[in-house]
Amino acid sequence: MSDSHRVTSIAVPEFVTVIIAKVVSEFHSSITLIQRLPGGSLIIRYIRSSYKNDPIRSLFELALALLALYYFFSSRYSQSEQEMIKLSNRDVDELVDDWIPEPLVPPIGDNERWQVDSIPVTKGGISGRITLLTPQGTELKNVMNLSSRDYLSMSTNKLVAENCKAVINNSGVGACGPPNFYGTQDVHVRFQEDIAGFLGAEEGIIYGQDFATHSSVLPAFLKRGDIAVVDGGVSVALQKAVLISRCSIEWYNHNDMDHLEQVLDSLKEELSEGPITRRFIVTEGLFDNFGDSPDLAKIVELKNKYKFRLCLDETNSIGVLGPNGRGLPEQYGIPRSMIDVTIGSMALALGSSGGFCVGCTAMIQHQVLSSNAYVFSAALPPYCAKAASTVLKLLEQDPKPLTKLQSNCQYVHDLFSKTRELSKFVTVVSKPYSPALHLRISPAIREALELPESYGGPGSKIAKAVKQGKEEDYFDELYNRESYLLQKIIDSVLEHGILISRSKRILHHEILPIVPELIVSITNEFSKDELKKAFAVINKAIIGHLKDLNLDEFDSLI
Amino acid sequence: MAPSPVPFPSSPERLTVSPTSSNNKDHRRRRSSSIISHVEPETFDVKQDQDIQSNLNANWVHFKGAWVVHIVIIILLKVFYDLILIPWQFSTETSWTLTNLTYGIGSYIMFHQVKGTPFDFNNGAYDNLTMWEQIDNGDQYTPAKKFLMMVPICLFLISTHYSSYDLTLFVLNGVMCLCVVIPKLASSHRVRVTIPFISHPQIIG
Repeated sequence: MSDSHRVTSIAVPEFVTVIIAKVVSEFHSSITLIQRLPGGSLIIRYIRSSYKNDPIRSLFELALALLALYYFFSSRYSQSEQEMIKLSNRDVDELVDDWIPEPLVPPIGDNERWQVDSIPVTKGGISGRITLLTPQGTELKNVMNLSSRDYLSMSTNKLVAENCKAVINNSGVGACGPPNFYGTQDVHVRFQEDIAGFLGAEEGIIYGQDFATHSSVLPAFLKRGDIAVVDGGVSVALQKAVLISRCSIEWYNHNDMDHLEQVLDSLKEELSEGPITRRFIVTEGLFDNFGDSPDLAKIVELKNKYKFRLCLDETNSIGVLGPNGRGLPEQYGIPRSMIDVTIGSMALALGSSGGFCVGCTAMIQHQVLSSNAYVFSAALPPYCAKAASTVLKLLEQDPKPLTKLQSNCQYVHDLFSKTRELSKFVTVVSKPYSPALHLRISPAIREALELPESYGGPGSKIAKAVKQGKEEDYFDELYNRESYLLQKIIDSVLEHGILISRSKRILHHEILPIVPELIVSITNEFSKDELKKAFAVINKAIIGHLKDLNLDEFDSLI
Repeated sequence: MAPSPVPFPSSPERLTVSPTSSNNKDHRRRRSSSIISHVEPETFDVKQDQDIQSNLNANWVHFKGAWVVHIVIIILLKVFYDLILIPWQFSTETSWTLTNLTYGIGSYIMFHQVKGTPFDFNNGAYDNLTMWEQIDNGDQYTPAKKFLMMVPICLFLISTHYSSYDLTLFVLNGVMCLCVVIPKLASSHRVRVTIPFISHPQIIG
């Protein structure tokens, strides 16, 4: 008892009591100080009333309040600004002084000059027989035009011209605005109905320019994170379209259905989880770069199996393929409803201008508000829409021009591919149904001339130059020389009054590998005799230029 | 003499190398299966798309009305819960808790749950980011962010003051407050949490 008493009565050292007294008095005076501050009594009252005999609650609230204060007084900081380089005014001035603007158009090199100098000028309307002004200034009359893509020669059709005239008299030559802003006229709507009816789709939409159609339609549906499985031989318009849409792109070898299936199969697992993405298979009905068609039946089967949508570019195949010119699906007997998006052009077989897209109603209506070219670009001139409508009507009434075109194509293809001597020098790439005949210099000769298998494409010098933005490296000497050789053949064919063409592709715009080609475009205007004569001339010119060509001679060309 | 031809990897008929870089799997939407992961920094292309146009989805938080509306909404919520609870004779605690929970859940969904933008102006360049991460292009401690941080904290402190919560309600309110405060901290910027067996793996790239 006495022990415990002794314990409690241990004298507290004096300095401790002093400190405690000091702390208590300071605490009280600070509270009175806070009370005197504006709003201070509020805080004291708040603390007192929310204390509720639970120090842990108070501690939690205090921590929150401190966090709020800490957050409030932290100074702004930015991740992106830390990465930025700070330049003084002097640095800026120096950089501005050093800057020499590059010319808008780089000067043409001496060895490219021939490209400009070899462009002939036509005089008058374009039809099967034209008057040409050569770059040298001589006038050639009655030239057989084998470079026109107006395969059905509809642009010179009398009814088409009359209808155009009537529309021009009525509403002038321009549409005066974008489709959604006074640009749509009756003829545009009629054409949209006509093309949808012609192809057997629910609805159609009309575009002012065919090249812009692809790069406007595809980005309206494909966004970042979506997937496009694209044929490795599509035209530059489709390449740009899938690139600009920012979607993930998978490429399959040109028309290789096994590879397509392999690609789709490899994506299957990845697509089975996570958010649902839009998936498209993108291909062409009749390839612009090859003149061949994909196995549509197999593609439709694959797209249904793997739950993809199909975007088919029928730029070249409308008015060319199928018994009634309704494109590749007609040839395969596949209903148009199986093709989700069909893109096409009125500038080729339809003999007019502009592009279109057909498909189901929802797909078309989505484009009205979210397809860039439709919303922001001027509408197609009304008379072009009328011309295209008229052509569709003519085709529906009478498929004779088409039948003739198809038999001409077959005939010319046979001439070129079944001549044994010619096949030593050139290879026919295109298929018998293609109105554009694609001729490449044969692999044996190209090897002898030490030409690469192809130009551009992934991993090439050009691709690297484009990536680094080095414009001076865009020029490829061998590509230029091979193209020049083809132009020499074209020039000597022209001497006999026949105009053929070649593929004019700008290497640094293509992301796929290419090979220069001679292109003979066949129209329905010519008889078999005329075509046979033309073949004889082209045959002779090709053999003449390629027969005794050796490497030294080739290298000294340009 | 022309330079000897470069052996090209691809031909028009057969591509041995993809012409676009997106064919490597890293380039696509990547998911992380770890519990805590970070959204990867944007590539140059994505950054460019983010800069095409100012982000309309996140810019409105700078308007004065957008600040005032938080307070207005909270007051309306409180009045609403007071009014509808009259027939049941519920306490102020319940109405404060409901106000707190509604504001907390609403603002969590809006700022931290939904990713991307409702209307697409930047080609999906913001698809991986929450709205909080889009505000001020990810800068920290900006005035708008400071204000939005203050609102839930003040709401909680005020509500505890005007009601005497029992332990359950206090914990409920406190957790709700933390749920909207923690994602707003600078250290949780671009952090994704996957709850195993409950939520899907988060897209981080």
